[in-house]
Amino acid sequence: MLHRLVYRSRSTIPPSEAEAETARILARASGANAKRGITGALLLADGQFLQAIEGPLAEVEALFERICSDLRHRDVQLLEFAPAEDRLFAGWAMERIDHEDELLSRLPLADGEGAPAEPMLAPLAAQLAAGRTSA
Amino acid sequence: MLAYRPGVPVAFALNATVGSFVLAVLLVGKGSLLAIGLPGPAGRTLGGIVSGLAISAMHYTGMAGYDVPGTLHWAPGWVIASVGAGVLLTILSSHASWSRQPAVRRLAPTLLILGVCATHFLGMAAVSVTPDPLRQIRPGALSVETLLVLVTNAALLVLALGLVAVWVSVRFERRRRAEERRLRDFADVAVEGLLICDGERIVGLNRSLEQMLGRRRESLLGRSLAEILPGIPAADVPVGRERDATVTDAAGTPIPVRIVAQDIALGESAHRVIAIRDQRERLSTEAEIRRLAHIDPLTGLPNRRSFAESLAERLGPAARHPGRLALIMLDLDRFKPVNDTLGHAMGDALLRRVAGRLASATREGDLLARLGGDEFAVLADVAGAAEAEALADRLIEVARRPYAIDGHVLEIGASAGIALAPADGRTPDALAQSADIALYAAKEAGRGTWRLFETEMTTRRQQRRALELDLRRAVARAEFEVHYQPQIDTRTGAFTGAEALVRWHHAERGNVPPSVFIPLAEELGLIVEIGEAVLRTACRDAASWPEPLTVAVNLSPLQLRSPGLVDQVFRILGETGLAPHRLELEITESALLQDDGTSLAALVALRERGIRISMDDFGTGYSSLSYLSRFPFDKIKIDQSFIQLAPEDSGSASIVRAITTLGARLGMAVTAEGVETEAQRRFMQQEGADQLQGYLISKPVTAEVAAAMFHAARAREAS
Repeated sequence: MLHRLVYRSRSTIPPSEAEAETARILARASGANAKRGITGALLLADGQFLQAIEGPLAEVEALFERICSDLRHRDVQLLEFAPAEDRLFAGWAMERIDHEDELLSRLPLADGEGAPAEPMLAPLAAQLAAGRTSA
Repeated sequence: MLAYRPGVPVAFALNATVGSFVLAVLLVGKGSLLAIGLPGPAGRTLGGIVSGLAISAMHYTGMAGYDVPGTLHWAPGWVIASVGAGVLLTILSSHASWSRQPAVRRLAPTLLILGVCATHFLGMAAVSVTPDPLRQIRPGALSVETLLVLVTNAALLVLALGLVAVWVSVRFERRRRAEERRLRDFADVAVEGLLICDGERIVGLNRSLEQMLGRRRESLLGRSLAEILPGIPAADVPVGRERDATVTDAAGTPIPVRIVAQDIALGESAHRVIAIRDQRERLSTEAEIRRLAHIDPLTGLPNRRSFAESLAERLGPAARHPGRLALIMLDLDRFKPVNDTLGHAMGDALLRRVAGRLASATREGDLLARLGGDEFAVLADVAGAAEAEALADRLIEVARRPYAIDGHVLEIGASAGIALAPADGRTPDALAQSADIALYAAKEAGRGTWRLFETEMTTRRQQRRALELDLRRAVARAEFEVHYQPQIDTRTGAFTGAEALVRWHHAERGNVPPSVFIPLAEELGLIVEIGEAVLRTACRDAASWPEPLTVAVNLSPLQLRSPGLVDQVFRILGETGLAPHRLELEITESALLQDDGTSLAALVALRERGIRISMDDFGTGYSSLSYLSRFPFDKIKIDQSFIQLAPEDSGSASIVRAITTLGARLGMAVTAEGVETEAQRRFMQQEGADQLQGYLISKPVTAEVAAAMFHAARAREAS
């Protein structure tokens, strides 16, 4: 069944290398994700990752497990993990969202520690999608 | 000789003829014996020479009996040629008969016949007869005709004997072949490889060995043993006991084997049978058993045994480099509830994920093991404490990240204890114990963190152990006493009752404060027993107090959750004769915090039968108002920390005011605890607190003193 997972984490990659490293990760992930039926979006801003992953349950869980075994992340917080009706990022094998600053400021998660997790969920994903299409 | 027709009548002297025959048989026999008795080319040559000469001897002895009416003339050249050709061919025959090649062997008789013929024909060519009418054939000599008949008969006899010999030989050969086949079939059935050696030469092997080596029998027969068993001559293979060896197969791959030899007689010479037992399967089985004994099947990580071995191994060299080896003991926090509520399959899946994450947090060369349950350990070479701490940080960080398993989200944590060798332990046991103590300290510090071992931890741990032991002993011997702190009505100043307080006087420790032993008793589960004893004592003491004075008894969260609580309380009331309305049970918020419904149900049952329930220490902790709405408490006790700061501290004063107002609105009485000054008493009175308790009224007193105080007061009121 189609599931969607959204998490937030802090990046341990030095800011100067963050852009290049993220681009590399995405380039490598795209092909593998397409094969596994994974779509989603990744946002990097202020040293924080915000990523939405959607796909078959087992694949989503496997990808999240890899992320949680990755020391480039810190303070991983799971914001949403639930069955989904349809894909919000259909056709994207993990796209990079460019409008970090503008978009992040609109997100309930952007205010650092103690941000409430509940209001996130699907509306966030929709926002992420909107941010992408307007680009 | 008979065929030689010199043109004159011929006869043969009997003696010489018979003598020639006997000579031939004897000397040829002698030659053959020589060849057999002296193995090797020299013996064969010698045998050939003797046999060749025997043929000449036979011929020329026979010629001595050659009787013609004339004179015999000998040509010396032919005689030498006759003897030489005979000897040469016989030698060749002798060698041929020992040849390894069957085709050459088959030539031997032909060569012998040729030798005989050559001797005879060349010998006859050497003879010429000059007729001499004066010479007569001596009487008694055999005529050519007679000899012809005799020789023919003898030849037939020899032929017949030869045929019999051939028949016997064929029968014998057939039996030998059958025997050989049976032996080979037998050998082929054997699971182990069998090899027959003649010296260093391979002369036989069975199918198992063919298969083991991947070579055909034909390709090995006649080859040297060293080709498959390099470095071990056949003579060095032990008889009766096995030794380890290595054979080489067709591809040149060494195969570990065990070999043992046995000497057997095959035909005329001794052979050596070598049994070759393939050890690959046994070795791989052993390796697998060893592997299985050293891994944790669930996670594939090294297990406790393997870890202990590595620790012992690495502690040796590590001892020479201070602070080079770190042992990190890691326990998962909140793992048990996952196992209990979601089942073992989920618990196992979670442990596998944890193992994977911990592995990703370790560095090259670090050893990660699962010691059992939710216990893991890491052994790491580190430059110093900081490096070990960073590693522990990473381990805890990855372990506490959320887990998405089968659609569930699981949140657990991890605590770690670090010990460094050799400072914190030179032996595996000592180091592991230090790490365990540090882990315990990390858990005490609230879990989800690590602690580096410190010497004082051991002291603290030992002190705790000693206290634990004393506490268990105290429970067993009922060493606890109950003291009472009286409470008064704020408006009238009259006694309303007292709170029962447990006291532990230890022979050596003196008075142990409840703040020290109660948490320990809760942790050890001893609080249930202690609580019951206190309740019984308090009810018995209160029963002697004047009506309607009450006694307040604290209930620990653990007691509240124990299923027999309600029955126990009423049994004690029955035993002591105290009326239910004179008993007040005090609970804290934390008791309701982890409630699954049973605690609340127990409280309801108790209250329905007249026992009063009060909320203790209100204002600290969560102070969630939802508890007050979920259960109709009879009384709220304001925590003494607010009373002691009031009325000077405006914040505390406001809280006191809010609680008294809340109590009044909800219809719950309010008790102020820890009232120590007259100002505090006035403030509480002014704010509408119903009851006061504290040093200003009375410190906790013994049961006798309390009873005396209450009766005296009653007497005063009556007078």
